[in-house]
Amino acid sequence: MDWFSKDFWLKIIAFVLAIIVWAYAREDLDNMPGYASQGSYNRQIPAETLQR
Amino acid sequence: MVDLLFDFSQARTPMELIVVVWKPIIEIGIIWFVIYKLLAFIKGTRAVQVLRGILIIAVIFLLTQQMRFDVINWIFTKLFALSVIAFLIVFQPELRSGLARIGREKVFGNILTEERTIDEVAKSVSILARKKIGAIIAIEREVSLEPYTESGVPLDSNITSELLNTIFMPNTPLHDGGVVIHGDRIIAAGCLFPLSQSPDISKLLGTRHRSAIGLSEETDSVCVVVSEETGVISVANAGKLTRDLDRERLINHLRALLYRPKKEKKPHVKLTMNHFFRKK
Repeated sequence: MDWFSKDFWLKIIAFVLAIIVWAYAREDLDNMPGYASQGSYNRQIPAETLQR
Repeated sequence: MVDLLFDFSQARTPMELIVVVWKPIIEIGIIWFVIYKLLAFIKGTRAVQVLRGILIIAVIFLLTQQMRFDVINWIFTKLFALSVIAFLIVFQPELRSGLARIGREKVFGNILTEERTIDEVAKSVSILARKKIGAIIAIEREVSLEPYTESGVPLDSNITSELLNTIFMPNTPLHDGGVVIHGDRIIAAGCLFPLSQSPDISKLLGTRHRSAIGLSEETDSVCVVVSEETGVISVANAGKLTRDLDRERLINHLRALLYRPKKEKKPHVKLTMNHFFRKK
């Protein structure tokens, strides 16, 4: 509890910023052509990849 | 919001569901920690004012973007490209000390400093404080103070309170400047330390205190300062000044910061072996 009360507002601001940064990064990665997160079952195989 | 954080379509088994839920939480946690550390570091420096300026410019930029002022927007875009270089130049001291701080996080614990060093420093400082003689003593820890000792006079002598008092005696060649201590030896005297640029430092504090704080910002050293005007004893550590210390409090404070007692060998194994081979 002591950890949380020290610099309380700074931690809140940092948390909000962290979510914004993460969301932007996630969105950017999702829009990146050919990228799909690991473990994704419905991911598309990039068209350039040779399929045998 | 939940959909943005967790892509449940990726999870087909309970194990995958755990991964889907935990991965963003861990990622956000790491980013949170880094941003918090960054903000906490910036808080005490002059970078706060510059950051406020950047924030105002960013708001104006967003407004011009929304209002479609294309020419002003173009100017801002070009300025932002240049601002990266400006950022590196303006924040060079903060970046340097910040990176140094990351490198010396307490992974290996405090350096072992001789108990005698603390006692001699405390003894000397209490005498100097009583006589209102200004002094600044830097005790080296893991980061070398060699760049600062080069600006002074090399001594490499055994530490005694008498020698420290003599060094700081007014109107002597070595009294103006700081003493650097490594372990139980005085490495150099008359050394010049960097001045802190922090705007939070009280105007009542002079150059001696400012340089003690400056050195503790740039390195992990601990600086003991005696005020020439008031005779007050202070300790600077990690850019923060602890003031109004008497001899006992100074010793306790320095012990907490510097001293790590030698680990005593636990007799556990020996006892166990004795127990094992004990004759019945």
